[in-house]
Amino acid sequence: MKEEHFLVSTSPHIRSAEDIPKIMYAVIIALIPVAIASIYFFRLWAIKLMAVCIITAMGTEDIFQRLRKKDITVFDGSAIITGLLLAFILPPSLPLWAASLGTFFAIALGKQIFGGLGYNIFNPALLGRAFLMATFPVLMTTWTKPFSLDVVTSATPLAQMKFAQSFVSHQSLFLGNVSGSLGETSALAILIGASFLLIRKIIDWRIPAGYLGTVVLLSSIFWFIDPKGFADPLWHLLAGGLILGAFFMAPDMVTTPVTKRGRWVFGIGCGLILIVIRSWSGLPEGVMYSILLMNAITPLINRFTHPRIFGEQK
Amino acid sequence: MKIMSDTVKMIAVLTIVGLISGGFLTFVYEQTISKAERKSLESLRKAIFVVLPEAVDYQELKLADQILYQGIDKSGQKVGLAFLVEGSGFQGKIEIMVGVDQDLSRLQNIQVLESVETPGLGGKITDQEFQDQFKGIAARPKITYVRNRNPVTPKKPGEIDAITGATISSKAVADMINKEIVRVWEALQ
Amino acid sequence: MRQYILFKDALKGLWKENPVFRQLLGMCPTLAVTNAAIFGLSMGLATFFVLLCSSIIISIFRRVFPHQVRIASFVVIIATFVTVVDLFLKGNFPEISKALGPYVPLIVVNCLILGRQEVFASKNPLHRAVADALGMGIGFTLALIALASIRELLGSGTIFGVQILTLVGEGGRFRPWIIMLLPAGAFLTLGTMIGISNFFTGRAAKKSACH
Repeated sequence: MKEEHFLVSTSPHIRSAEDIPKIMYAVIIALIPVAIASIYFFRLWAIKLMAVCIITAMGTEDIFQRLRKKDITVFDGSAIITGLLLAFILPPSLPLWAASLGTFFAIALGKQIFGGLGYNIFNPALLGRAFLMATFPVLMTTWTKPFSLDVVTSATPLAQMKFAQSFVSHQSLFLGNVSGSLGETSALAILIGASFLLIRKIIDWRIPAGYLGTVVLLSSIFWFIDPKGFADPLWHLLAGGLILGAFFMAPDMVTTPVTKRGRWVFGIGCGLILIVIRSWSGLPEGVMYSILLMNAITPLINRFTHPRIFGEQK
Repeated sequence: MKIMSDTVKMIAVLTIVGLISGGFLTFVYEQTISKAERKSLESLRKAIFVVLPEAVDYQELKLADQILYQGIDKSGQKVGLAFLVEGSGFQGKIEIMVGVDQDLSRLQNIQVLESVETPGLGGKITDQEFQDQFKGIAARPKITYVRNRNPVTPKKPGEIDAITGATISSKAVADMINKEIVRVWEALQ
Repeated sequence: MRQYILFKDALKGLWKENPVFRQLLGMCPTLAVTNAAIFGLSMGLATFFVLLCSSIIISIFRRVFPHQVRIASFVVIIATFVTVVDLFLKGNFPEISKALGPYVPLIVVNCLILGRQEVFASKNPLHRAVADALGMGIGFTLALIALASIRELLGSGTIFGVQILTLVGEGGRFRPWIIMLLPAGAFLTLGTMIGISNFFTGRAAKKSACH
């Protein structure tokens, strides 16, 4: 008899109609409002950056899968998402070759080297950004004002807070009329896409809830103690890449804990790290590092939140 | 008896190995260390004359817990004080030789002697361009830094431009010089 | 026949049992000091010198050391030569000595050196121990130079201080990859190099298995 791998488990068996491309394309649909907002604010730059990142992501995936003689799954949507998400967290005026290099790194060393989708430890898009941040720190911190086609360097709201103690209005932050990464500026557009994902139950609400809840709680406490030295909680929520990260990067299925309790731990951990980085470190923003650090300890969280087998003795 | 002789052999071999290598090292140390010391003293000497451009000679002034180098020009006039400043930057220890006017009001020059800052970023504190900013700026009330200066606005007294992408290293340099100048001033009072 | 064995002893360190790419020994200096080719060369030569000298001494006196204290004796001998190198660099090349920092004294604990003494020099006659030390030492040095050259080229556009790629600020088009000069760049480069070498040797092994 030819050997097959049969999965043996007790009934009942439920077969879900969901598969990888279905989930991935739902995420892409959810990202469309963000893409529209970024094109509205940053015009041609946004289009070019997104196109370069998506094409490089798919190309890299294809090359590596051919080299490793695996099935080619370029069109399952996961490479498109990585490319698109990476474009959203890059500064609009970043040279296209640098964006392309970062995307190559994200797919090659962030995903394919571990064995492809499902095996990666870190969120590939964030890893790509971390690589670019360490490689071209000056390019990665050169920001542009919305609606302008020249590179007018201007500090992001978080950098203004950290180095000049000045605050941008809440309304600008909510609509996105501030300088920052391509897709992080408009909270409104991100929330539209995120609500679609939450309604379709594609992302687990526990991670964003834990993440945002911790940020609001901690920043409220600090703000209450010292309203001059710390920003108010709503401002913390809207500024930087927090909302984009909380809904589109932190809940990534592959790199987060599998248990419900674990997901709470994951979200709360992200929030703690973020507030520490934003308030006391030399960096203005910490969404990227907070999620990457929690990705790193995800196996540990899985281990400690492992549900007890029925009847198992403690 | 067998065990006894084994133990003796072990002790004997280790002792001999230790003695020979110890003796050999003493010899090598004697040969090289004076050379190494001379080199590091030389670099210190050179740095003093860089940061006190008018000085041709210097004297060591020992205060309670710091050493000042009193710069002297050709005619024997006091032309400024130099001292070593140490502090931690982004990655590790930074050591700077600082030259100031006799009344500590103005920086004459600085020279970064040691730094392990990130190459290409904070490492630029060793660039001539960055160090030259400190030439002749007011040291009091304190040295400040600005990020991303608008090229049109003029520099205020005692102000330097931070290195793009390396605010922390730039801040560290300014802060440690400020702190040391205050310490020297207090010690001299 | 004798010559053939010597040849084999020396040659295996270059590729087949290369300390860095095949045995993954001595990773600490390999990762720490290779952000410029000159540092890679200096560290490689320093390690080479220590390896060669201690192999000679230990091979000559290999019958003298009692079994129970052989490792202790080896370490003392290795430490002696490491201190010699350290003092030599401090006295003659203070700049390099400063850049290599604690990694010169740390050659003492480089597993490559103690490993070769235990596995080879203490069990083989002088001429074979020398051949082995030469091969391993040169293999280690070449690996460090290769790694350091890639990092220096991408990180500063130079190799051994010679400008190869012109930087953006100087009229060229190259922007240095800062990450290559940082510790993370060492891991990335070394990992990629080992990955590529495994990819090709794996292929060759498969091919020869087929025939």
